[in-house]
Amino acid sequence: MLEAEIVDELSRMVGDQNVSTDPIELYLYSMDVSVRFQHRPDIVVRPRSVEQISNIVKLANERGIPVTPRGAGSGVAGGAVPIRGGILVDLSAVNEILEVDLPNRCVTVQAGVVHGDLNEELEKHGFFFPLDPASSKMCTLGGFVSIGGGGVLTVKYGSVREYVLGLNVVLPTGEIVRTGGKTLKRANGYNLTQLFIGSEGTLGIIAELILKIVPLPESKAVVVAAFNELQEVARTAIKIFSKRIVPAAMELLDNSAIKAVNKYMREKALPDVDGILLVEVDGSKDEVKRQAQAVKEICLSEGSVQLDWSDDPEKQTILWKARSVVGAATASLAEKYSRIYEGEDITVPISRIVEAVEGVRNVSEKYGIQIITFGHIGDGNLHPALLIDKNNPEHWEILKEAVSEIHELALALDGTTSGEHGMGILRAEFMEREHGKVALNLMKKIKKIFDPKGIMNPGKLSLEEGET
Amino acid sequence: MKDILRRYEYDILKCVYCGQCRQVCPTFGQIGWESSSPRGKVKMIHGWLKGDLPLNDRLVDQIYLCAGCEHCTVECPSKLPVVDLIRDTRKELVKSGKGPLPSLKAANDNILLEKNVLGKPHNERMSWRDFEGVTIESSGNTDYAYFVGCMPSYWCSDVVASTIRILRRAKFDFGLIGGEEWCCGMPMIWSGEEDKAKAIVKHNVDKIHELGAKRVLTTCPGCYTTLTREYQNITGKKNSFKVIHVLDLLYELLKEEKLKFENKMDKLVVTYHDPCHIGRSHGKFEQARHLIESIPGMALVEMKKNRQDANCCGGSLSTVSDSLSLAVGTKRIKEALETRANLLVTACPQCYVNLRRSAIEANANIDVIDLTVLVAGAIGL
Repeated sequence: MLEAEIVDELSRMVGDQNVSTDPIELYLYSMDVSVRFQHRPDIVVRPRSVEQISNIVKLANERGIPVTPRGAGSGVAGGAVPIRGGILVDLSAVNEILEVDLPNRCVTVQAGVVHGDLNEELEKHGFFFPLDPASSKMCTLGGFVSIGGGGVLTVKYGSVREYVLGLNVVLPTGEIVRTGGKTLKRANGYNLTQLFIGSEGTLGIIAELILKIVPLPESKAVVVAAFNELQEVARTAIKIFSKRIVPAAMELLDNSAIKAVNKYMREKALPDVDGILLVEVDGSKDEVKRQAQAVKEICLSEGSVQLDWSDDPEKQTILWKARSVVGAATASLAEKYSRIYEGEDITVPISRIVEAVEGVRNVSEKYGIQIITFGHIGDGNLHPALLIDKNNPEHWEILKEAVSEIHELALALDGTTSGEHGMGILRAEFMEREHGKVALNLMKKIKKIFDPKGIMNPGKLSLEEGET
Repeated sequence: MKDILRRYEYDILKCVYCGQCRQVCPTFGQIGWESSSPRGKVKMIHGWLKGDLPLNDRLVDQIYLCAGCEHCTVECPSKLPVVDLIRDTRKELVKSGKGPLPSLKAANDNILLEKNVLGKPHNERMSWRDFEGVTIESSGNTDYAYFVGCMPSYWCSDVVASTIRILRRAKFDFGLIGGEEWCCGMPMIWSGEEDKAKAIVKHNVDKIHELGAKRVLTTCPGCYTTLTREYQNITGKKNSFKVIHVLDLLYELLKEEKLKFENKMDKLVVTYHDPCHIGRSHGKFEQARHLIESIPGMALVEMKKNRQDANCCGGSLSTVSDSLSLAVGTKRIKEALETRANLLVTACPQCYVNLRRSAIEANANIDVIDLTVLVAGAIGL
């Protein structure tokens, strides 16, 4: 529990209505999507400006109080769980789109702006922020950048690392550091912007961001192809690239996902095949036409047993539907079973995707745990959805082992345990395996320079001394 | 308490706390604390039922700060029955002596005393009779009974007058419960005091039976939903009457050419606000749009958030928090203004009242009217 004078001081900084020590709020800010990790903060503070964030952190640093930044709390790895208590800084009210700068093709936004809201605003100008996470409707841009997020369109447009031009970050001392700027390139020494991306709030609080934007494509087309063999899906994906086509999105539903979708969406059954490939191409009308035709031909030549496509926006939505409802479909599969977000973000080189999918199937069989697999085959990122009865302690034990095996599988295939969701607490134990001892020790030293008192988002990413 | 936990536990456990509900929730949009979000309410209820959380004022307040708009339910990837859970929790709060909130209790007391939620004298319930051209005499064929509702009776008599004039013009006969009509009971049912609503419901059902009506017409989506869904649960018997919302009736009358739009509305650009309790709750999205588009000279433009995705007007929050209700309404008015429409039409007296006052509050250059008033104008009444 915090001393009363600290609560009073925080109230003075942001106003009484923006501070809470009520047990209800502390409970609700103790969690994110990761259910395994919960810990209540001592206080929740909702600042309205960068200056207020700075003052809060300065006070915390002076008094050695842990600070956990939080956007929408929609992360899945426990990154925003205040595992050491202290001050939880809810950034969702620092949410202004400060500037849409079309000549320089960038926007300046505050950390609490919701991803989807930015794209709604940009659409008016014919532009978009070309990353499309499933959490677009709720995740904040500060959180998205902090975990180094991606999404469906990564295959063509890249991850968030390629779109952050500059940042305003409140350091653990309360100082504000500006990194980068509006130019598309700068050859001026260390790139601190990149250091903060994916640092998950352990080096400071990202308060404002300059983000690169791109024009909305003139046209799109979607091809959906069913294959009897998973190997055919992977072969098709690779062949599409080899024909010098870079799709905007390239998604996979494996047989478990097809079955789940068919149970959920009874009105339009998908073929009960081993895998379905969904390819979206975008660009000028002529280019889209050419690419869609080429993708169709490749799919058929590689053995697709059923193929549908469209360049009509309304029909494209229908074609995308199976992929977009798969998450909901997993939740509805069985009354007492819930989806657990663990082992849910493995990413492997595309050439090893079949081994990854089959490996996940083996884990499912070995542990008798239902796993629905789908994901972004275009960048090797799979999202296996593991289902358990949360009230059954044995299920939790089995889950732990199954998840560990899925993570080991990704590493064994030269991949990573997380392609776009972050390490947080959930995958912190894999930091050394992911990076090696030398790199992790370097990270610890960097952390120490930025945050000598260790107040910023402690307990995440295995950055504390003595952990390796 | 255990009953409700047993009933909803697996639904609650399916909530992954993704937060998709936060973005569409009118209450969270204004308050911003997690306890005001649907996912927060779900977890808070679970925490309380499990004994992890105290039953304190913040919990009680937040359980009542829900508009019941069902936007979260539609949005939820796990399809949690969030509003049902909140309503059943309110019943538990009443049992434990913590509910309803004083303002809701006062509204329910109004119903007991004056038979209307607004606390107006019961003997003024038929003041809409004073409108020109409105007659209440029936030819005796009372197959249809018009259940007027509290809000139209006292706060927007133009809706009642327009409805009656339209029906007269279409030579559509109907009866009225008239002065014997009481509040439908929705405020009691939704605030958790369902037991108190039993006598009210019985009274209205008896009056409908006395009239011999086989169909009950409502202009209020709240009455429509209550009569359709709640009455059978409360009486334990299947309704002997069918409930019709005026939207459906007007749509049918137009189709049968019993209504003819004679007045051309020059260059009138209209946007339509889908009332939650007739749109999302019952899937009635197209009838109003068809009626509007059938009026010569009228152009319908859509707000970005429409149909299933329409934002709530905030009207149902007014008893709990007038300022919150107004803030939510003002947000919806801003969305209407973005369409550049000069007329905002809705089909719900509560939406009508709240959007009208919100437009005034926002000093917005847009008129707000109920669909019945628009239709009456278009047929030259």
